Amino acid sequence: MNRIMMAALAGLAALAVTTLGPAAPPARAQGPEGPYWPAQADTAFDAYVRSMSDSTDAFFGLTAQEPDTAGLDSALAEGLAKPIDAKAPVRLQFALSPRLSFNRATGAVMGGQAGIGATRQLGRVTGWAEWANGPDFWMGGGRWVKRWGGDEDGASWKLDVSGARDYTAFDRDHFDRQFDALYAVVYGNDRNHYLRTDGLDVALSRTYAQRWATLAYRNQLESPLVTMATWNLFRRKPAVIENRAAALGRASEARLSAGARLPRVPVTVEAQWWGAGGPLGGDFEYSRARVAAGGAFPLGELFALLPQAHYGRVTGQALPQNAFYLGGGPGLRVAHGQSLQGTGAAGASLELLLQDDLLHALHLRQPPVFPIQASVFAGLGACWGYDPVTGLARLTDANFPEAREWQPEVGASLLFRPGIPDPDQYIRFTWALPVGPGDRGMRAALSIGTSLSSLHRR
Amino acid sequence: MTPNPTALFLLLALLTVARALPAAAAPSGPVLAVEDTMKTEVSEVLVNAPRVTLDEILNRVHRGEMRRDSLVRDQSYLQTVRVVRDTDDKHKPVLVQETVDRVYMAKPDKARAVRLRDWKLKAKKDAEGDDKGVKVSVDSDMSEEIVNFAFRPENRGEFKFRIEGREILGDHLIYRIRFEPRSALDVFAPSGRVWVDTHEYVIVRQALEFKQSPVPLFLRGIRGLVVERKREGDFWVLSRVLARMEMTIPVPGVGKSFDFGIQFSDYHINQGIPDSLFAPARKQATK
Repeated sequence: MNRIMMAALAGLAALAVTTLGPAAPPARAQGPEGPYWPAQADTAFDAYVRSMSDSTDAFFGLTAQEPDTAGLDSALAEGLAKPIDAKAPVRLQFALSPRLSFNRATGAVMGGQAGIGATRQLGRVTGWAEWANGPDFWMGGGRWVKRWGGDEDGASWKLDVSGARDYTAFDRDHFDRQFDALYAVVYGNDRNHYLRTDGLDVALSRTYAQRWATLAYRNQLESPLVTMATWNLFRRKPAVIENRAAALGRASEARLSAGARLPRVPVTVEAQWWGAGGPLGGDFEYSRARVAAGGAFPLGELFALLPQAHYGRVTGQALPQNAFYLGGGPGLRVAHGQSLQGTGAAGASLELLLQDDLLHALHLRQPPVFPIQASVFAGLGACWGYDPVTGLARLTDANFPEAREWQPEVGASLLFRPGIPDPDQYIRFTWALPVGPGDRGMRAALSIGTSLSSLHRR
Repeated sequence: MTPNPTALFLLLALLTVARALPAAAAPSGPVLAVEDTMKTEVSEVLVNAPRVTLDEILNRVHRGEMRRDSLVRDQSYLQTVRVVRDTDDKHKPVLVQETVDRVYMAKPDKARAVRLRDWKLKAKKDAEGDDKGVKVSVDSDMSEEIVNFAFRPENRGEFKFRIEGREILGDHLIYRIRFEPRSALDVFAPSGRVWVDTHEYVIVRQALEFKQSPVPLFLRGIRGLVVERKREGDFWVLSRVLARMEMTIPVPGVGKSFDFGIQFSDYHINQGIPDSLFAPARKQATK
């Protein structure tokens, strides 16, 4: 028995020697090896680094060649002999540009603006004047923007002061002056309602790394506008003809907003609050709050998962110009833009985005010049509470919608991201299908917007 | 006849040892004598080399970079900026711009660049009378952010890291660390690969790539964005930044594919630069 045990142990030992002993390289401690192989060690490392550099040389060719240093010494002597400017000249950076816009309340808006100065020096002053041919009045104003910091420590401040007669849209969460004007003038697909503002707006913003906050105040007279222009380039019937009336009055409103990219997860959260009346005075008294979150999680090399959600609520006086508007965006693409309104709004969506070009991913073509992406999505949205636009809905102080008020949907999109003017913006063609009871139909729509459009900033 | 299990096991053991012997005896370095006439005693050594986490490696890289930065008081170098057009392998590459500057930097906030060469294939002026072309300005920051941006604490949460490989070269252990943006929509945040020499926890090379073009309408892609460092005395310093841009449409002056490169050479570090060489203390806005 003992002999058997001994033999077994000998066999195991032999196996252990085979697998663990001589086959494994001798362990080497970190740090200098003393006088044994110094030249060899550095040579191996240098050769490794050099081999990578050589491959870079081969790839870049002429660009990677060493510069010719002939004549540089004399040029240096000459350059050092030149006097140094005591102070860099402050550039006025004067700029003149046209201002063009269009909507059915103002008609064609034509004018120009001039700016001078630099935001990081004494500030940049901009003045503009424009004529609205529909109601036949002039608009215009001035703006001063000053920035501090932002280069060395990453934290920056921005002060933005403006006083103007201008126009804006009821939907303060989604209004895009340029794109909405484009929709309106090309084929009349502008569903915003507009009002005129006269007064002052001051905003102080701070940005640090992936966090930002703004404290602002405005004192503006808000007045209604009526429809003055129903034409468009393709002579189509406008999607909406009536421009609903804004409540007339002076808004003395404070605004707080803050947002941040969460650490270690690709999720951004933001919160905004507007408050008018009370100690601030003015003709309106309300509190408006909105929170949103969204993220973009990579799923392997090809896909990304984009969840997003938003919730908003108005308390106090419900006005057309402080209500929430839904439709056309995430959570409710099946509804027309701004087709639902109320004192409460919520929505959520989950989108699976193909990050590569669709045909390239299917091995049908090489990486193309204009990559077309695709996505599928599911979402739901709801707007509830008092409707200040029609005045027909029931008055309610409910903080959440009832189950029957949610409108679920599924759909798919084809997307192209041009990268300009905003690298996050997509031109999107969407098919959206309603889910559940009701007489809602399928909707196909062309739109421009960011993929996480519940967020104002990502 | 019943086989003897002991004999069988011994035979197996002998065979196994015999298989192992050639591997053990395989030449892997200098040939040594048997040395059975040499006697020595080696004291017991406790090898205490705990494995560190990737997070700890990233921390050490950051500390290594900070240490490198803190030790540099002043430096001067030759900066060469080159733009080469037609680099698409279909045409012969043509140099369209080469500027050479001698750059002086000193802490805390002194910087000066003396232009030594300004050559352009076709010199053009912009509306303000300045030369058109690629301009690279300098500031007094010597921390080489282009190399270590992903490892900085304020940015690290934006990237995912993983160890992709390692090389043991003499007494140098090189880790190849891959990083990529956590968010799928950060089109301006590059993915990349860095080579870290754990001897000093310093980044010796970086290769960057963009999964998607930031501006697909004009820029088809950026190929081969490489950042290299080299050792100058006690310091690792920037050596080259090279990138190849491929456009969707030909751009006047640079064609459909062009290279952009900055080379840094002839370093003088911590050799003292007189204050008189600099303009009054002032930080420039851009880099």
